[in-house]
Amino acid sequence: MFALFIHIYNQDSWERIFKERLKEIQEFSPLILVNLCLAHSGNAELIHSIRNEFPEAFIITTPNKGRDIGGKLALTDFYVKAELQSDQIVFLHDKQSHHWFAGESWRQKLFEIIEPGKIKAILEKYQNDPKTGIIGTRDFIKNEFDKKTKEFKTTNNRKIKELISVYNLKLNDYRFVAGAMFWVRSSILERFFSIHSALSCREMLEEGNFTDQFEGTYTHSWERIFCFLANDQGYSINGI
Amino acid sequence: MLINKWLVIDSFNNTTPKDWRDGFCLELLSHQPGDMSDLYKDLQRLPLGNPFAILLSEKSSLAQNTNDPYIESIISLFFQPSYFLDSDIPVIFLSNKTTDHAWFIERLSEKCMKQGLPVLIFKTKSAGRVENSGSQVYEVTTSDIDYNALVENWLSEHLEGKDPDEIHFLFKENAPGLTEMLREMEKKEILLHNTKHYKFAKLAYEKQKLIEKYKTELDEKVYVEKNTQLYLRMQKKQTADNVEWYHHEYEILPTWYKRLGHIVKVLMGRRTFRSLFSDKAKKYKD
Repeated sequence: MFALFIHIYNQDSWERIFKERLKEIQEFSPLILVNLCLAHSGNAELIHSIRNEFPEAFIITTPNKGRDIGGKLALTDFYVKAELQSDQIVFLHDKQSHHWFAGESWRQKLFEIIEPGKIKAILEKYQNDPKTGIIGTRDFIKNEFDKKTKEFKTTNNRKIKELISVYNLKLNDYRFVAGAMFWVRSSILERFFSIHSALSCREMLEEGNFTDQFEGTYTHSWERIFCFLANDQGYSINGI
Repeated sequence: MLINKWLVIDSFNNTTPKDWRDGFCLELLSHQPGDMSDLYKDLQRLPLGNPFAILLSEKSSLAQNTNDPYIESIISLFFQPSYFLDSDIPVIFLSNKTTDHAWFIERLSEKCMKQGLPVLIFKTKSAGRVENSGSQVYEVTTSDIDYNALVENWLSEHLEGKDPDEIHFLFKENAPGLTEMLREMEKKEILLHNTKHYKFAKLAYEKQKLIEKYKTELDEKVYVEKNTQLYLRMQKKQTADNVEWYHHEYEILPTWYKRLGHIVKVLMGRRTFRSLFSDKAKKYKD
């Protein structure tokens, strides 16, 4: 069984983005975990609406810290503390990217990983290849690492290196899924976050809404670190 | 609610009354994080109409529990949708009989702030006397509650513009004669509901809540507006960058080269032949 970790920031995203998509994949009976933004006034109605369609869904509400990455870490914290179990975890969020014209088409492509046909192929891949750690949309698998200079070609360079050092990650593949929507083998996260609590990782993330266009952030660095965890534990990252 | 009732329990289990229509207040004992996995799952199934909060009491013995995993296990409770919030801030009830939780509360508040979350501590009082200072949280042991004095006190605070907190009654689950006590209190409440000062206080309370709701919605809109302005600035910069890129990569080329490019596009099937001669012709193939 796989689990869906869904971060919803915008109140209308449930109806607009997730509800129908999740209904389409009900045949797989995924475990559903949703994070909502704590300060939003319409949460009670939204929770009612989610539970109406998916009574077994787990829902938490957290402050807007670390954007979707903060939400995903809070969901990971809940998953670990409630001792839930799954074989794979799928990270999703209501990506808006208002600052980028192609935001909408990006989201469409990133969401291909939960199309019913692709889910079957992904599950098969995990079953047939025990070394597969992460699976994401092929076009979004990026590598910013320059082997010659040993630097990451991003504003987040310094912070990424700092996190690699703090968590003592041993890496030989620096690819990651840009957009932070991907499948990951649950054991990878369970192992890492049983040592480093997800909430303590969340503490360092920035608050509110921000981008890394001009200055690096821990939040955007964690977007990379999530994928590096697989490589650190000897797993591969694959595109679909 | 202007008056909230809380059933103080030490765990969620089969004996937790299913017909309790108000809030549950979990008296925090020395749970270890591992013990709490069922609690997180139980709280998920708690209807939103049954809020939940924690109580630090003399039984809590928290002095030894200031380690990060334990504090974080408490913070995770605040993320539960049924956790009781006052103006979006989680509330912790602190029993007036406790003395040694200062260090724990300080550590908890510090860790909460790092999660972007302040906490409110409401200290309880004995229900025997009405005090008009601080939060209005009463540990109830008898039905001998002076409802009129409580509501009048709340109303006068409201009229003085002090924005008083709601009134909370805490009942111990295993208190002797609890059922009888609750029945007596219900009778008193029925009488209270018919008094003029209660009706006025209720209206004032509902107005206060509505103002808070509008304030939150306004804050949300201001926040969205600020973000939209930021995104527009970024899009504007991107547009300028794109135009500059286009100028250097394409516009700068000689005309004959660009014309040749158009012909190449036609040969590759990316553009219609007719569009080479007429601006009105369909330019790109579907």
